[in-house]
Amino acid sequence: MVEYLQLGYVWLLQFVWRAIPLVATFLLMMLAVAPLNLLQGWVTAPDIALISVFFWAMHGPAFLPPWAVFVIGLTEDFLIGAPLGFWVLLYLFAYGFTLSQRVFFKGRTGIGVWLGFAIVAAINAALAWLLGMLVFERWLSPMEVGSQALVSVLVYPAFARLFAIVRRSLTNAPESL
Amino acid sequence: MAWTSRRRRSPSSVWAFIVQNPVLGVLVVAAVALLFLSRSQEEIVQAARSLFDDASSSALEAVAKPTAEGKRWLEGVTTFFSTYEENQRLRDENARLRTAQSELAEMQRKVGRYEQLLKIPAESPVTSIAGRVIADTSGPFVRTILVSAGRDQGVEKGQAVVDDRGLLGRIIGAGKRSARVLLLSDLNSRIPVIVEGANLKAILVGDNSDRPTLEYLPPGSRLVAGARVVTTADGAALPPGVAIGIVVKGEGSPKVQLFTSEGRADFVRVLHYRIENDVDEEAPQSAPTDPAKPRIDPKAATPKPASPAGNAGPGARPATLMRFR
Repeated sequence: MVEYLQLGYVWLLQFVWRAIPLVATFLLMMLAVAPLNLLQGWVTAPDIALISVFFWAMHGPAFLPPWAVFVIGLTEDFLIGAPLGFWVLLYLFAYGFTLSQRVFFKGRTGIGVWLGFAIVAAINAALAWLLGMLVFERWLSPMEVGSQALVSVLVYPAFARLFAIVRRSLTNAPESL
Repeated sequence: MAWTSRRRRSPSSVWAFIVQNPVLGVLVVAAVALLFLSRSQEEIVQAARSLFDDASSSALEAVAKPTAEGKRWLEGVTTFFSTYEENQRLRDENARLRTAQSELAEMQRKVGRYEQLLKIPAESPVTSIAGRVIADTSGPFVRTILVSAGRDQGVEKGQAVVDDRGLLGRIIGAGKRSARVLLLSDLNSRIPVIVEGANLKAILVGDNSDRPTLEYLPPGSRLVAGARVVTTADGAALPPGVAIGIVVKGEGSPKVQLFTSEGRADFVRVLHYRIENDVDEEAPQSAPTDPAKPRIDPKAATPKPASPAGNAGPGARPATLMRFR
């Protein structure tokens, strides 16, 4: 009986441990929608969820499995009031694309990963624009998603550093986990 | 370098990648199904959204409060050095407003008297519910905000939301403690409006910019740039006379520069306004026999005139007050 309890305790701890990246992402997403109005709303808020999805796909997909990406996408859809499934689909695609290209991105040092994020953000923005027009059934200006992608790319190093701290607190296993 | 042995080789084709990650494939299918579901089952999705908004509202409020305080503190620091000029400016403005206030009181007395003479039925009073903006979730394609007042406070779907500058949007979903506001600039926003001066009715259509378009104007109508655009009571959805913006020239259709350009509201008011559309069981007794003759029915008009602003009680404000900006 005690063994089972111990096992359950360990399992629970592991679960909480593994959920830290997800919780950190949720916290940052909530901060991103706080009514801060920096620069009077002239600059679009960065896509924190995409940064997180890319970072964990690059530096430890074990800590952010596909179901967690699904949950992040669904939270984003609920949070900003988008059609359910919209950002889920886009983040799952970004996750899969990053996973398939991580060896390529990893091959370059430091700035290579940033460049990788720029590519993923650009593709994601283009897909969001196309999917948006499909879902809303009208012509949309590509400026919105474009500027959001640009802001996301600009702030990526800062958030990547933050996530790197989270990752170091989880494990010091080598880069590709 | 033990980890290099675990490094997966880049798959040569998309199909090989999907076979390697079956969970991802299943989740993508689920996402597409969800996208279709959210279009076909709107009521269920709306209920789920309200549940989510309620559940997340306390967390969002916990984040929003300190950020609002921080913002206020930052503003305090930046305005510290211009206090004297600001004080002078406010003194001048106060003097101007005092004059305007006495003029307004005189006008209200006059309008009240005219309405009494013309036997105009009293307008429905507009009451308001105050709320804090707890999330400004204006991403690409969707422009909404979340406010900290819900069904428990009397917020209902369709009500107008204003701040001190004018109309922000309307409620699209009300939870128990929170409500979601569709901003005027959102793609799905459609508001019946009237252009002051020309007295032209139109529909204000959001197009994801700070300048929504005026559509369904009468053909050949001419607008003056700078004319004020306010709400009308058409459709019995919004209280009449709430300030929205001014007409500006646009490519193609005329546009409206909103008074409430994106995301600067901290506190908002949700306006409660209702006109009941009623159907009489029988035709009125005193119906005129000659339809060409104008019908004047003294009984139809309400004998009591619209109450002036002072008597309306603390929450209730007559709609005419909204006009004053």
